[in-house]
Amino acid sequence: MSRSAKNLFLFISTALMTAVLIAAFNFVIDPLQLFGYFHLGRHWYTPDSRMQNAGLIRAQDFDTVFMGTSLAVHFRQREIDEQLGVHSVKLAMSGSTSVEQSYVLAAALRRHPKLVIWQMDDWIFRDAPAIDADIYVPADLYRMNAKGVAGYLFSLDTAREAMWIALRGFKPLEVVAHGLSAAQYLKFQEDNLNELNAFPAYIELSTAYNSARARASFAHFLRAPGEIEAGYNYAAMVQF
Amino acid sequence: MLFNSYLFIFLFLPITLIGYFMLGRFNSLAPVVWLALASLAFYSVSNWQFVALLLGSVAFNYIVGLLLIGSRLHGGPRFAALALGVASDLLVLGYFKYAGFIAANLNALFSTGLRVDILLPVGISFYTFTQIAFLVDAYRGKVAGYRLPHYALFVTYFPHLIAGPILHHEDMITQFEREKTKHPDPHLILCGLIIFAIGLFKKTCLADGIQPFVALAFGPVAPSFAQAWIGALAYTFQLYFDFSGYSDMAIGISLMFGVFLPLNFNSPYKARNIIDFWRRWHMTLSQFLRDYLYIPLGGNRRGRVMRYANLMITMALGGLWHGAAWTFVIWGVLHGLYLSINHAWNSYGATIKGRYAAAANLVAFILTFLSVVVAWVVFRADSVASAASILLKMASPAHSDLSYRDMLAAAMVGGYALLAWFAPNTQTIMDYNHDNRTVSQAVRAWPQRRSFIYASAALLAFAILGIQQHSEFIYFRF
Repeated sequence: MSRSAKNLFLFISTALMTAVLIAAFNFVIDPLQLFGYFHLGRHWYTPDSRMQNAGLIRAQDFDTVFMGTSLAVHFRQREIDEQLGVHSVKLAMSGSTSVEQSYVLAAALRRHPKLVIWQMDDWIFRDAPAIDADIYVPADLYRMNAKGVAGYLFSLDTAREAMWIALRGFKPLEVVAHGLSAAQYLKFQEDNLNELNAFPAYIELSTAYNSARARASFAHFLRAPGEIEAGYNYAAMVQF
Repeated sequence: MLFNSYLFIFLFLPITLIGYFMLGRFNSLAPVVWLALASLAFYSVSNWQFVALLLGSVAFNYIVGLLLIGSRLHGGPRFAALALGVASDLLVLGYFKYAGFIAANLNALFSTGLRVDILLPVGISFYTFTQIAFLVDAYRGKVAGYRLPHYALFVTYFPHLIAGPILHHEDMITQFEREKTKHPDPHLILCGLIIFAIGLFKKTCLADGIQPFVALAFGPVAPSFAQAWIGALAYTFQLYFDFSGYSDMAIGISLMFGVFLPLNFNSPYKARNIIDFWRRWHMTLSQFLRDYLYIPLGGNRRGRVMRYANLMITMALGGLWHGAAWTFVIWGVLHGLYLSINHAWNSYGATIKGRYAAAANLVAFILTFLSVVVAWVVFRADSVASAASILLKMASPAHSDLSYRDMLAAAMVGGYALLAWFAPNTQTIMDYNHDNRTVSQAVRAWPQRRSFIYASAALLAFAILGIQQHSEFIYFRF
């Protein structure tokens, strides 16, 4: 074998080895807690419900599922549990469609919960892509098939989150991680599942949400309709 | 099909390489046919409806080329054949690319109510230009005659088909005809893989990494002074790493087949003047515009005023080539203006030497970079009004509190600037020489070192694991 051929072999095998090492690291840290083989320090959760729910369904013990849109996502699981005497998991997703909700719910039903609380509003029945064409839902991760698991493990995005979950264990880096979370660079930023996507306790709801503010907000968006369309395909949203 | 997709990296590329070298054992023509067919398959994966158009364009230009190459036509008929060929190419390009733009302008002027919805065939700007160059050279008597499979491969060759580099027929077809390229060379495959890895890393980790911050300036919410600058600079670096990453990947892939593609980038943001910038940015387009537009217009042979006029026309049309919108035209005119000022300064301006030379060079470098950034704002903006609004913000210093996200974006922009200004570029790292057809020949060259192989292999792994879905290259739309 020539020297160039040896170098080529070395290059390809090193690249493969690096990819496998990164996947192994992701498997051990496992930000979504899909596998649950290792328990290293605190668990961290992402407010990206479409992704996080795949992990919650597998990792949490629950007898009740709470599904819905942003109208439901701000509730605290503990308050639901206290009011109804259940052990719930919140799977609500902001701006979700009926296609997304029913898909995630079907995955949760495989754990045989006793009760489903489903907050509905008419917007969820708008035109929506099939679940495998929905770029926001990692559908294969819910199925836990080879494509979904490989996409999760052989991913630099997962590695970045996993690395910072590991680094957060060191006190001086906690501050840096906090800043990166605030900058929306890190997704896994909440270590208290009960507070995930809930309104911070310091917000007084009657001050934050009242008729005066609602009218002011409505007037603002009438003046600047571009802002309310930001990030949305408006034509798709109004199509039923 | 995208270079930054698993389908391409793990299926299409290995199968095409294996087929190419296996057929190379039998004769020299079969691998060429195989590669042309593979290129059509590559194109048809996401653009199947335009394959017939591509094939029709290849056949038409080949036939016109045959007429021009042969000695049957002379004088007027010969020129008429060239005019027919070039005009037809431009008409097809004009129909698909500019009909909507013309209709929109007519509507604005005369309220005609015209409605034109035409899909733009991917790569049409690139394969039209390469073939116009072929026809012009055939007319000038610079083409000896090519066999159809070699010509078809020259146009459809998948590493360059979608977004360049813009190839020259003589450079490419002589390589396709060489027997040696049909046999695997582990050294070229290794170097090709490393260049591909660098390009893929630029795309998936650098360009895609900074892409979200571009919205700070170009998003729906009006930016502050700082956000406008951060967003404009983020786009400046996103575009560079995206397009130069694509070009590196094209060069690397082609090298695995033993074919050397021309360089397209040479650290453009290190330029000290705009003339220098255009010798470093999208180099194959600059060369095309110079040889087939600027010089035929008269170049600098008809006095200074005509030279500046020719520069303006060339750059305005170069801008329009990028897309059918006034923002692209203004971007081209801006660069035409920059170039004219640069040439005028060279003719009439002071030459600074001695102890102030270093300071003058620094000022020239900063001025060049800022001029380029200002032009990119117009290039990227959705409309002329939007570009004006962002530029106005950039010119109106005002204090505003920076969010954590703004600060992170600023830090990332700083890191990218250091890379673009101080890091060696791919061809320097790899000792890639297109003219001599050599890469990493020196024993001391980096790819000969084991530590470099480990590092570049890790880079490839990172780049592949960093692939994001739905991330096209910016230049695909041009």
